[in-house]
Amino acid sequence: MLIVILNKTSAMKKLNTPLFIIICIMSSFKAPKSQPINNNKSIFKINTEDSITTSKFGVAPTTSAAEMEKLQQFFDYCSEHKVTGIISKGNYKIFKSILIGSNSTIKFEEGAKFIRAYKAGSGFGSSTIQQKVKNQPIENVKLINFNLGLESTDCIGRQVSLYANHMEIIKMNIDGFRGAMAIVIAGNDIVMDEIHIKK
Amino acid sequence: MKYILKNSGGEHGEGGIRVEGGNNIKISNSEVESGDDCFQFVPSAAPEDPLFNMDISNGEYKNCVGHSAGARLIIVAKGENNTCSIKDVGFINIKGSGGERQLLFQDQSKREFNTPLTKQGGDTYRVTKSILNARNHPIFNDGDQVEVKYGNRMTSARVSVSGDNCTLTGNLEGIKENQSVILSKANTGVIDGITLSNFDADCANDKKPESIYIDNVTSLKTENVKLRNLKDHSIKTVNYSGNWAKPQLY
Repeated sequence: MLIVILNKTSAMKKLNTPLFIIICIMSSFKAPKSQPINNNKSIFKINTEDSITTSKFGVAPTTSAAEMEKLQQFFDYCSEHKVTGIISKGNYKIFKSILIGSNSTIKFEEGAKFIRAYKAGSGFGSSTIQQKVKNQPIENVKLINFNLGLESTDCIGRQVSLYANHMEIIKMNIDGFRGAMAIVIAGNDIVMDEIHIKK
Repeated sequence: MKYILKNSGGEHGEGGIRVEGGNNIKISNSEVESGDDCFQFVPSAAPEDPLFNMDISNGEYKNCVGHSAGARLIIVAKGENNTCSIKDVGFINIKGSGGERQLLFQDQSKREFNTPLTKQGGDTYRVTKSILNARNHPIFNDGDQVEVKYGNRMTSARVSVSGDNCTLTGNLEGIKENQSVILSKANTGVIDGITLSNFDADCANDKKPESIYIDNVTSLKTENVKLRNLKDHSIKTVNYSGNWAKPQLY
């Protein structure tokens, strides 16, 4: 809604009454191209113009640790460029922790899944998903539709360990967890919702 | 909207959601099946952990269902090494069951000792060394400054450990033989302001004698707490004299 306050018009001057015109611009209103629009990207907004898929980035469903490096590069790219990363459909074997940086919005497509294929304890560096920095929180993180599983029951360790401020975790699915906590979080202003974790 | 946490069905050491630190943390519509504790506000008590000893405030689990095969449905706890605080956390509309207690609110950084302190002269009192240790590791070490609470009095003292001798030095005026003493490290934080509302737990498979255990919590607000299939002696409070709505039993 845009509120514009104009000076008195000549007609209103006659009435000696100030004029306040309130113009409500509905969402359907299309601004002229020449008119600048707020270009600040919201990291919590899924906008196809600001997103990139793993397939477009050149990441195929991974079956080896070497292939997984490209997946990590995808996460890094999305964080650095503040674009929404979309994990394309398919199974991605995870051989070491996926590190998430600040300003990350990552969304899984239907049918996309990370499959933990390694065993680790519960310390830093062992979780399937964790923040990039060890001793400091990351900022502005939104994870949507995350789908995590295990390759086998030997692949024990934490699934999610995140120290982050301003974080939303929506619709996370954890398909099994062994030998450690499923989710460990810390930070300020955190909302978690719609997460499904099954054996 | 649900969280559904399921694990291998009773294997120990596998918890649900653990909040280790921070402010303004909301978790809702969650369903947990775990071996260990389902819904947690528990700071890390491991000094080597990057998240060690973080304060927790303004946290909430809301509209959650949990089943823990071997531990608690809900827990707020500080370990012996924790000097942090946990303040204003809540559990709203929680249903489910725990395998070993339904809820545990416990501050282990404050230890209660019901043991005689023998006056050694001056303001020095001899204490049993073993009381300074729990599970074979020391809570208090030689030279530690500690807070001492007994009755309505709070004072400070210094721990001295030498061989088999252990003493507290401080103004413990008026302390009585066999009086319960609460010791905590100086400047240790508190667990304060837990809200428990619409809590409905089934104790049928609870292996512990105390399904509800409250230990060194400063304030607790409860409303509409239901316990089903409760066994005898199933509520224990330690060092908590505040008002709270006793559970309804079914």
